[in-house]
Order: sequence, then C-alpha cells, then structure tokens
Amino acid sequence: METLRVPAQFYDGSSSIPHKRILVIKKDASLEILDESSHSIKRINSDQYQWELPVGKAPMKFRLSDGTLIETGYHEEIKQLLLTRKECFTNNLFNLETNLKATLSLFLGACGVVLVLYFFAVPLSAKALQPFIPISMKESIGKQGLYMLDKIMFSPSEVDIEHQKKLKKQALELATMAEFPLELEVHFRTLKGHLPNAFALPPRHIIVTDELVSLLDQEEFLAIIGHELGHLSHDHVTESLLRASIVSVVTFMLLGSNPEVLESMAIGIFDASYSQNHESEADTYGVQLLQKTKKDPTKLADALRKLQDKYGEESKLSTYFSSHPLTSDRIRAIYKLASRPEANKKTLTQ
Amino acid sequence: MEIESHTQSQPDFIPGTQTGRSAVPREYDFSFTGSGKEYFWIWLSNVCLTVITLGLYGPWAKVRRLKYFYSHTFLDGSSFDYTANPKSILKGRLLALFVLLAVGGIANIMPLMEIGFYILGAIALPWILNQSLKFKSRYSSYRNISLGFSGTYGASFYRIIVLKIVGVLTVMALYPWAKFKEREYLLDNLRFGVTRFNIGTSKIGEFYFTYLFGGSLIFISVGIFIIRAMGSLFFEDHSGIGALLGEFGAMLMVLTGILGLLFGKVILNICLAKATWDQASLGALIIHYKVPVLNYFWIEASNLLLRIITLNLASPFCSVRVYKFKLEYLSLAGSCTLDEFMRDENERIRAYGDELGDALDLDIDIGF
Repeated sequence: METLRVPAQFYDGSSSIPHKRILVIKKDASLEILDESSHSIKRINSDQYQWELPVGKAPMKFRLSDGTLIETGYHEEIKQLLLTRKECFTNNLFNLETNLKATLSLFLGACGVVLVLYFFAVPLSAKALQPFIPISMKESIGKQGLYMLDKIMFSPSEVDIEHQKKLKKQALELATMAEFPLELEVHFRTLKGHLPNAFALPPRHIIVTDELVSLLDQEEFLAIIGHELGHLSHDHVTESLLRASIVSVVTFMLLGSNPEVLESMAIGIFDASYSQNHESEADTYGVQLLQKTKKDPTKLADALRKLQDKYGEESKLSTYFSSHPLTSDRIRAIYKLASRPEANKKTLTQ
Repeated sequence: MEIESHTQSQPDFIPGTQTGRSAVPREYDFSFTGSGKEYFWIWLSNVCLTVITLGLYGPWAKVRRLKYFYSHTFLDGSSFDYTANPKSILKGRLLALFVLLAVGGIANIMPLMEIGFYILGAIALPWILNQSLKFKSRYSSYRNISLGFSGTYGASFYRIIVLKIVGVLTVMALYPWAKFKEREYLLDNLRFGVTRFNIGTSKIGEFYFTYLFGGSLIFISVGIFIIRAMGSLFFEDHSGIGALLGEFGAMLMVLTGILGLLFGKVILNICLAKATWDQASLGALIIHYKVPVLNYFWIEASNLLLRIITLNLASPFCSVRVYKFKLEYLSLAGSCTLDEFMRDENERIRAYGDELGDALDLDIDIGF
C-alpha cells in the first residue's frame, strides 16, 4: 500500500518549533507520519487534510484538520498522485502554466477579449448609455467645464464686440439650418501662448479662441463652426466621458486599483485613439452641412491647412498617440467627401 | 499544554529573553528559490485568465502571485506561506467597486456631497487601513504561525491622518517626523504570533535624510513641470523658454520630469523601507536591511527599460530580480532561535478592509 516516503517537517501550530518527521503518502491519498526512527505517530485519512497544488516548484504543504501542518519539499510524484486522487477543479486550473499549449491558447483568448473590449464592448456600451444622460447633467458638465477652463487657461476675448456679434449671428444661422435642436452659444476667449483652437462643450457651447478668429476668414470660420456642431450633434464629449468611466471600471477590474505607470500609459494611448473617429465624424458632418447650406465645403480643408501651417505637420508615428488624425489625411478625406454632394445629403438629415 | 498556558499568561512573551536556551548569537539569511522563467508562465496564465474573466479571476491571480513569492522564500529551512481565500478578496473588491461607483455617481449629480464624502472617507480611512493590515498579516504565515496586526482606530487616526495633516501644514517641515510616527505605529503593532515587532531606536534623523534625498528628486521633477507649464502660459508662441529649447528640448524636459518623478519615488520608497526595517527588531532578533540604494536604483532603472522594450513581457523576470535583490540584504540576527515563537489565539477578519485599502490606493505598504 505504501507508495511515497519523504522527509518532512511538522509544525504543531502553537509554536514555531520544527519537528523532523517522515511523511508517507499512500496510494489512496491517506498519509502516515513517522518519527525519525520510522515509528508511526499518526495516520490521516484523505478527507482529514487539505492539500493545494503548490505554485511553481514550491514546498508542499498539508494542512491537517486539527490545525497542524506538514511541510515537505517539492516532489513531482506526490503531485501526480494527489492530482489524480484528491480531485478538485481549481487544482486543474492552476496546473495550466505547466501546459504550454493551454497557456498559449489562453493567451490568444485573452488577446481576443482585449480586441472585443476595445472595438465593440467599450464604444458600444458608451453609445448605449448616452441617451440615459439627462440634458441637465450635460448642461452642468458644459458649464463646469467652461468655468474650469476660464479659471486655468482662458482670458477674456479681445475681439471687437461688433465683430463678435456678427460672427455669433452667422454661427446661429448655420445652427438653425443644421436643425440643431438647442440654442447654440458661441464663446470667444483668448488663449495666450497657445496655437489657434476651437472646442465644443456639451450640450450647446462652442468656444473659439481669438487666435483662430484672426487666422481664418469668415467662410473658414463658419466651416470650423460646422465641424464643432458635428461634435455637438454627435454628443462626442458626453460619449468620451462615458467611455472614460467605462474604461476606468474595466481597468479597475483587470488591473486592480493600482495600475503601474506603464499600464496607465498604454490605456491613455488606447483612449486617445477613440477620439480620432470623432474628428472624422465631425469633419463629415461639417462638410455635409456646408453643402446643404450652399457653401463651399472645401473651406474646412482650407481652415485645416492654415492651422497645419501654424502647427507644423506631425509625424506619422505621433498619430498613434494623438487624439486627432493626421491633418493631411483629414484634408484628403474632406475633398473626397466634397466631390460627391448628393450621396451626403441624406446622411445629414438622418 | 505547558506552552499554551505560558502563551496566554504572557502575551508579550519575548523569545530568547526568558528561556535563555540559545545564548550564542546567530544570523539567519533569507533565500529565494523561484526563478523568472518559472514565474513567467504563472504570471502569463494569471494575466490571461484575469482578462478573459474580465477581472473576476483577479483575486485568484493575486493569491497565486503572493503564494509564489512567499512559498519560495526560505528562512532557516522553512518557507513562508500566504493562505488568504480568493473568494473573500473578490467580495471585498466588488464591494469596493460598488462603493467607488456609488460615490462617484452621487458626487456627479450632487457636487456638494463631494465634500461630505471626503470627510466620510477620512473618518473611514484609519479603519480600512487597520482591516487591510489585519487581513494581510493574518494570512501570512511561517512555520504554521501567522503574523498579526493589532492597531487601534484611535491610534491609526492620530498617526496617519492627524500627524500627516500637521506635516503638510508645516510646509513639509514636520512631514518626515509624521512619516516616522506612522511607520512606528505600523511596525510596533505588527506581531509574529504573540511576539511584537519594534521599529527600534528613534529614526527621525534617517527619515529626514530620506526625504531630503528622495524628496528633492521629486521636488526638482515637479519644478521642471511647473517651469514648462509657466513657459507656455506666460510667454508668447515660440519665444522665451519655448524658443530657447525648441520642441525637442521641451519634450526632453517633460521626459526628464517624468523619469525624475518615477525614480524619485523609487528612491524615496527604498530609503523609507530601509530606514523602517533596518535595526528594527522582532523579539530578541534584530532585523538587518542594508540594501545599497544606488544598486537598487540601477536594478529598477534597467528593469523599466527592459519592460518598455519587451512591451512588459519582461515584467515577471523584473519582479523576481527586484525581490531577490532585496532579500539578499535582509537578515535576522540575535541570541534567540527561530523556534521560540508562539501562536496568538485566533483573529478572524474579513477581506473587505483589505481590498478597500487597495482600491483607494493607500500608502500602507510596509513591505521591505
């Protein structure tokens, strides 16, 4: 009946004194403890102790139901015997890493899950949750956002009031023609030391910097407003906020609460790449709106080109880390859209 | 039986001081028998299973990771053990997630509530911290004797919240002192069986030195960020500092800032660990932890590079490398043997505190 006999240490649990023993493991998974001169001290049935597969080639530990512990070195034979005798689902699961094929297929499976999360689960659930965000909440997001930006970045606009009024009026007309359901508000601000820019804040705010106003002519200005109206109609900011929340929940579940620096950087890059789609969507909306209002859609491309001259062209590599696609790609896409006006009309009204 | 009655009547029994069994001073070194290669496969299956189960496997992965490191760590011929039940960690994690989501949601709808949550958080923090340490130590064992933590709410609140605030209010002048007081609280309440750890002599000087050394690196890095930000705020486009450095220079500046911050933290942590553990004691045993800071810095820096190059696949090798390096410098010495520690009568703690502690990113690491 006896199968395996190994030197072991016995700990009674009340003190840290190690007692030298010999452990005998029988075929039916029962144990026998012998003293150093091979006299039997104790017999233990297979249901009177707990055994867990060691992680790696670590010492094997047998926890007896009376609170005592037997520790012995790693023995492959014991592992094989107990794995067949004391069967347990988790033990088989934990044995995975010793099986190369299983680990590799697991790896492929995990890659699949990441791809599904990235391409489907996260963006789709953000879109699905979007309608449930009440307009009052969006208003407060917009107001708080503008308040914060005013505090830390912006100073009041230096553009002539009359000129501001004129631009605002044109922007409002454009919004009416786009059948934008809310009352659009255009804010002018100075952003000293920064390049020209325009932002959209939910649910109906567009902020334009003085630098942008002086850089663009009126038609180009309206093209940019069209682009920003695209962000507002698609409610991109709310979507991004929702997505960021979902990403943080998923991150928390996957990495625990303390993701390391490298991991957070990887997540940042993932998150930024989502926004690239938003820019293309807003460009498409802008072009279609300009066509619908009988304006020249390529003005958006002109505006982008002017901005590009100011910013300087980015390298191809930097697009992977950036929230905006490459400007030259955007300009090309705008020309392509502008060349087929009829096909676009329908999508805008939708 | 005799041993047990002895234990109960003298909870502060100090090994080596009363039995007088071993008068010859001995030194005990730690050793680690695991390898990066072996741990790689465990790490990989942990990561994959965690991703596939959308994180539900996380607690099992955590237990297996700790089990791997503990059970391959030897001291005087016996290995350590981590025996926490992953299910209770999972419960704790789900509860933590629920609390965080609820707080986040409510704060979003009613911004005024946010201040209330901060106050509630500050009140709950010492409790969470204690629970977390109790949990961690309860399930860490050596020779079938568990560690234990017996900090009280009041002491925790004073040492960790009140003194920290004092430290910050005095423009950090008293911060190293407050940090010492925190570490003293954590260590002096830590037990192996019934035997208490003790932080040893007053180490306030060492803590001040630590903050001057590691803290100044962080300070300089933050300074670099501020200069960069001011540069773009107060100077026109492509003039001033921006023009002086050009885009490349500016990128370099940000990179230096990030690296400085990263390595400042690394150095600060290792110096703190060294100051905390070196010359601390466990009963009659003195702990030695003379880790060379610069060598350690090199290990961390090269690890970071390795992980970036291998897209983090080198992570398990790096973890084993750091762990082995630290263990090399950790030892116990004294006139008592490791056979003389007694069990403490039971402590039963649920995992909620532990994982809430994890979730809120608390600085409760008293690891070496």
